[in-house]
Amino acid sequence: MEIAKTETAEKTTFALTGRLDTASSPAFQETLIPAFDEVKEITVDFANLAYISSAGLRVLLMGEKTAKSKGAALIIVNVSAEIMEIFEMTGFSQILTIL
Amino acid sequence: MSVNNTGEAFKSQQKVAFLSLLSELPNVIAQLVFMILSGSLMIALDAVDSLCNFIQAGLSFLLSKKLQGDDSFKYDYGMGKIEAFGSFISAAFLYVGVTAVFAASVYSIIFPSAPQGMLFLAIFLKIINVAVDVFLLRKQIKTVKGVSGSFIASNTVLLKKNLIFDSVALFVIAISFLLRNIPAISYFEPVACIVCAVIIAAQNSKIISGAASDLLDKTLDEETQLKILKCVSKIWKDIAEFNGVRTRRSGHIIYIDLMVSFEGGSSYSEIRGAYETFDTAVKEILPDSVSAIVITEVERAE
Repeated sequence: MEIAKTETAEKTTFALTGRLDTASSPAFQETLIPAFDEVKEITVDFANLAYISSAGLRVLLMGEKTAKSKGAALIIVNVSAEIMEIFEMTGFSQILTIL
Repeated sequence: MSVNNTGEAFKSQQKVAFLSLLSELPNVIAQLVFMILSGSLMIALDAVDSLCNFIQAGLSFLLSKKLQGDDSFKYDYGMGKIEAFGSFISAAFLYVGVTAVFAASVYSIIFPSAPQGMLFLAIFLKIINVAVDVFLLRKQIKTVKGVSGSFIASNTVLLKKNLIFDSVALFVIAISFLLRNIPAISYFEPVACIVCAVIIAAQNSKIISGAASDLLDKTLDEETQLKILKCVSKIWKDIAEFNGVRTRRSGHIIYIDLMVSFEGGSSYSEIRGAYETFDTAVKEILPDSVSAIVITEVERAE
């Protein structure tokens, strides 16, 4: 999986390409969680994300809680129908901010 | 509900394991020497047992040192695999040794011979063994009270077994020595040895099957993991930090550890309530599951 980072003064965007699974989730976690120390808004772009596993979902849940504890926001954009189905199935479509 | 408090216990476990190593080394050497000098089958069986104990105490010492030295190993199923592997190795070794002594006992019954004169020294050795067993068992029970773990549990069982076995061996050798002039006594020790070997093998089977089951742990399939995450969503508002979920399947049981932290002001009843909500939700979809909340503290860089 590739993680492309775009930064502005107010927010950081991570564009994910490929599969967010057991193999790639640790790298995404190491990128996402510390980023909340620098900005108040992080957007994760799923436009080119083909698949998300439970491991990837766990990283998003960690990110959501970290964002809340730091008074920041985690926003997920361009979610495909397949991945949206996973969010709805697990009940996290009501918890995560998905645009 | 589970809280990570095993660090101190592993430190104590290391001390007990070190004492076991110190006591077992001369014991193993003495058993082998006396086995050769006396030709006693009970001592031979004890020598095998002592050698196995020495291996297990050595593994216990190394593992508990590793467990207390590195925080990342304190609650890690990978370490559980190593524990299970250690138990499996020592149990397998015991099977080989017990089988050899069993065969020698059968041989002695078919071709009986009178007890050897050095048995009185074996009695002296056994008295020392029983005293050491009592001391170690009391220390083990006191130091690992309330701590779970297959290796710690098997070590306690091993110490209890040592005390029983050494006491029986002392009795058998003493009787064989005292009644050495009666011809039929030549059958007493081999028969006692066979009985002991069967009991040891039966007890050992529990350890080896438990360790084998742990070694055959499987990762849960993706669908089940997603179902577990759905259960997390039910207590989402109750938790302050979410630090992951660890799952594994051991036999038909699924173990689930939810690693989270709660707000500083959370009461015990609130935490207990969150656990019960999670556990109930999990049980609905996975009846054969054991869930736990592991309260974690995460330090973040400023």
